[in-house]
Amino acid sequence: MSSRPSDGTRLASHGAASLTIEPADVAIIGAGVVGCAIARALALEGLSVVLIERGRDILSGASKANSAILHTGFDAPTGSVELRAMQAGYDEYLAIHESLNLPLWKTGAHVVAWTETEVAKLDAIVAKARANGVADVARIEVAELSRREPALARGALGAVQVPREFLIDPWSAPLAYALQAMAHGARVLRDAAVTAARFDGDGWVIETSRGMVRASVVVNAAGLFGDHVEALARTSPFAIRPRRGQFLVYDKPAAALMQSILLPVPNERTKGIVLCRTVYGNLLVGPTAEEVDERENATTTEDQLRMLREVAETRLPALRDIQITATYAGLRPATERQDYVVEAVPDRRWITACGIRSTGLTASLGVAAMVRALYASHFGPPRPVPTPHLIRMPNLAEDRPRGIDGPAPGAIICHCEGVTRREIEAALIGPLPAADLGGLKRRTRVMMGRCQGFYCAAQVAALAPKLVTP
Amino acid sequence: MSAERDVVVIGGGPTAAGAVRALARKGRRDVIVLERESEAGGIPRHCGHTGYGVAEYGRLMPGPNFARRLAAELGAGADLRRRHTVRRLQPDGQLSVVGPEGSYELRARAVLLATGARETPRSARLVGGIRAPGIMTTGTLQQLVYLQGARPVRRVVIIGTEVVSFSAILTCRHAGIEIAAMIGEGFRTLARWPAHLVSRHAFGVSVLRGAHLEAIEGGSTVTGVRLRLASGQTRVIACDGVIFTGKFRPETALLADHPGLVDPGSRGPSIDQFRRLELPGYFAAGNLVHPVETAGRCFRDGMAAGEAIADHLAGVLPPLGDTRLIRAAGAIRSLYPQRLAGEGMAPIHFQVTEEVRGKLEIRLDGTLIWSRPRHYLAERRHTIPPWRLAGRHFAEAEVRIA
Ligand SMILES: Cc1cc2nc3c(=O)[nH]c(=O)nc-3n(C[C@H](O)[C@H](O)[C@H](O)COP(=O)(O)OP(=O)(O)OC[C@H]3O[C@@H](n4cnc5c(N)ncnc54)[C@H](O)[C@@H]3O)c2cc1C
Ligand SMILES: Cc1cc2nc3c(=O)[nH]c(=O)nc-3n(C[C@H](O)[C@H](O)[C@H](O)COP(=O)(O)OP(=O)(O)OC[C@H]3O[C@@H](n4cnc5c(N)ncnc54)[C@H](O)[C@@H]3O)c2cc1C
Repeated sequence: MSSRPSDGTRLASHGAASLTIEPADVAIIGAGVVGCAIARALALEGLSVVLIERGRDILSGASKANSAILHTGFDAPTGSVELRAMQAGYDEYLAIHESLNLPLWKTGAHVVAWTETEVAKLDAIVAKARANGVADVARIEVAELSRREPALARGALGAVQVPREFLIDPWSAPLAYALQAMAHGARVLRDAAVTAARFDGDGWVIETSRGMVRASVVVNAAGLFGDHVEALARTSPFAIRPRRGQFLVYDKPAAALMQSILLPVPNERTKGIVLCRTVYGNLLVGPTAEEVDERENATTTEDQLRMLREVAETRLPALRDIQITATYAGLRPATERQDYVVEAVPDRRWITACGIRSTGLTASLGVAAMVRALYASHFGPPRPVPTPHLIRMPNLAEDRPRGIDGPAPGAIICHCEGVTRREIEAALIGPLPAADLGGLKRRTRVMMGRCQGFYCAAQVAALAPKLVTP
Repeated sequence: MSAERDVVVIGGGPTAAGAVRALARKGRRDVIVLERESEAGGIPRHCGHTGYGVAEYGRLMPGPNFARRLAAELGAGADLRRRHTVRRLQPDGQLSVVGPEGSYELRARAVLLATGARETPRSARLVGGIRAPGIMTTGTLQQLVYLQGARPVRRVVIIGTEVVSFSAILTCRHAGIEIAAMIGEGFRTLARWPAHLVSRHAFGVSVLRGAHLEAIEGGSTVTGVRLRLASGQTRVIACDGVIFTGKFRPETALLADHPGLVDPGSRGPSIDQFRRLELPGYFAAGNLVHPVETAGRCFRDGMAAGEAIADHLAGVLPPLGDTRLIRAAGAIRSLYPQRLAGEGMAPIHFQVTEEVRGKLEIRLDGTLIWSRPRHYLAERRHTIPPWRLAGRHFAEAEVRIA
């Protein structure tokens, strides 16, 4: 990527027609959960927004694979930008989720110690939580833990409860943010990689693979490519160090084995292997934490998958008899710093929202609020819209009625996940239709179940031929 | 609650068709078949190649033709409801069903589970590497090729050497997909392939035995597979598709609420010789009980289940509670029936985890009554004839390969 194209040059666009769009107040580069949340926040400020994404669909980067936990920040670095963003994001999610029809599973979490060394760390965990303002974190008796989680293996030596760690739908939430932004005029350009950008003193001319976009201010929310995009404005003050996390997903019967989120005692580098349900009714085990060079197409490795299975079966022995439905890996956009990078470069009319490493699903709304404040203090006063348009997301969570539970559901296409033809058709139309198979899966859950397409592949192919066999 | 029906069959594949034929012969007409797909017929719907129908309809035919014959037979002998999915089993033959018009409850004096089996996908095998289109099971490949007329990949590596792997070869040949190699983790081809078809079609496919699939390589598409060969060397084979074949698992989603009814060995329901589950009124047959069999065998198993259900409705089966247990041990992965009711005997079928040369031993209540050294191949059905146990009294039998 060159940061200074010669004036007037046009980079080859990949087949797609060059687009002409109105100059915008703000161009956001990257439609991960952070970019989507920023688009929402700025559109609700009455700003004209363009959200630019290189993937065929939104959520093509870090945001496509995570543990879906809404964190309290009880164990985050005290005093960090990350903690502030998480807590603001947490509060805002609680405030808006019902109006967007997004789920919230109030499961709570338990940090469980299995060795004496780990027990020794529990009081420090409680103390840190208190310092972080999460006052309801406390030690509980092992007997109480066993009462709450009877399927858990014996041998726990101590436990801390974190009552307000919750679970959410990691894909419907950012989609709702993007759709709400669009309802307020935001445009979303997908399949549009930013390849270069030129600052002319008043604003930016951004070259994308689909044509040129003009904007007065640019927000860098490019996740795993944050440092590359940052180099368009300045020498990047940070470097992305992707950290991979691999997961196992167990079939639905496993979800009955656990109520809360099971957290291990963290070490310096990672929170360790978590066991938790998903709002889709599965059980998730992971993530690993591995420094890798890959920035896209996260790969799994057999040895780590086997390790995860061993941890899972050690903690919840009943998992031995339950099938693994899926395996996947995600990449955290970590940097060499121990914190996020959320700052403005006023003389370049640029805002950076990068290094949103392992907590961005929670923090996204908080980061968006910070970006809104940076915009207001450097680039112009807010003009908030009087009444936000509300978006009602189709429910994908198991605890509330879905399409299949309705009065006349029509044809069911995916039997493992109970997805109707109507739901699939709905995901293929509208302001932000699914643009690849992953996008269709994230919007409907089709093919995400135990058979992984054995039964439904042909019907999905018939409904969305371009997405299935590109 | 709706009126009680005689029989509900869940699933509309070969097993269901066999049951409906047997029930019709016994004069049982109050039979409902619930099939969740838009067409009945089960797996053969998308097995475009030939290999079906000789025993049932008197001639060899391709899967889709066979499926149409099955569907016709189901429609004639029962109230066939397509696009009706059973979502939950409750005691006393009470079922929660969802159809295109909505959800409803159904109750029957006998319920036959005939939901079949599916192949184990890549994920459950813990194979590392990328995730991309082009990685699929034989079932998915067949649907794309035979039902959609698609050619989703150009050059594949086929994982597995079971009968269904042979089906994958035929499907690739049909669609003009090149087969780069076939990988067998073991050193022997697991399937006893139909010789007349092998000589015609499988010739020329190189089978790499004892190779381990380490990872699937590529970016947003597959570019190859990395193998660890028996020699310890690593080898990359270029391909844009990986077909995972076989390792069938019973489709037991309906038993999720009833874990106690599932045999951890076969992963299907545990049954007695009348194909009864331990839940009164419920029966199971076909691939659901013992994956994986041919369609013809499933049809016959369905017929046997249909006959048992007719006897159940007539009230002539021995009580459900009074059973002797048959347990698998040692190298035996699974066996069925897992229980024998009343005084009767039945053949005991078993499968081994992997190819083994060992002594088959039968113990009755701890006492060794029979043993014989033999060689057992994996993925095949081995049978202990009923007279081996006949005339003996016991509470529990153990079948072991030592
Ligand atoms: C294993 C794992 C577990 C996690 N668990 C949790 C959790 O439980 N709770 C939680 O709160 N958080 C969790 N996270 C963290 C969370 O997923 C991330 O913090 C978040 O997804 C980061 O979002 P982002 O928008 O900054 O980055 P991304 O999602 O990577 O978004 C950046 C986008 O920019 C696009 N882009 C890049 N370059 C360009 C370009 N040149 N032109 C146009 N577009 C471009 C990319 O395609 C991408 O879509 C987890 C993360 C991982 C990996
Ligand atoms: C790729 C492949 C190739 C094969 N090739 C051959 C061959 O050449 N020759 C041969 O003899 N055999 C072949 N077989 C095996 C043969 O197809 C099966 O043994 C046979 O179809 C099993 O019959 P079944 O009725 O038990 O199950 P299935 O055929 O699987 O039928 C089960 C039915 O139950 C329905 N169902 C499941 N759950 C529910 C529910 N909850 N509610 C309602 N309906 C439900 C399903 O939709 C399905 O239609 C092949 C199998 C595969 C996968």
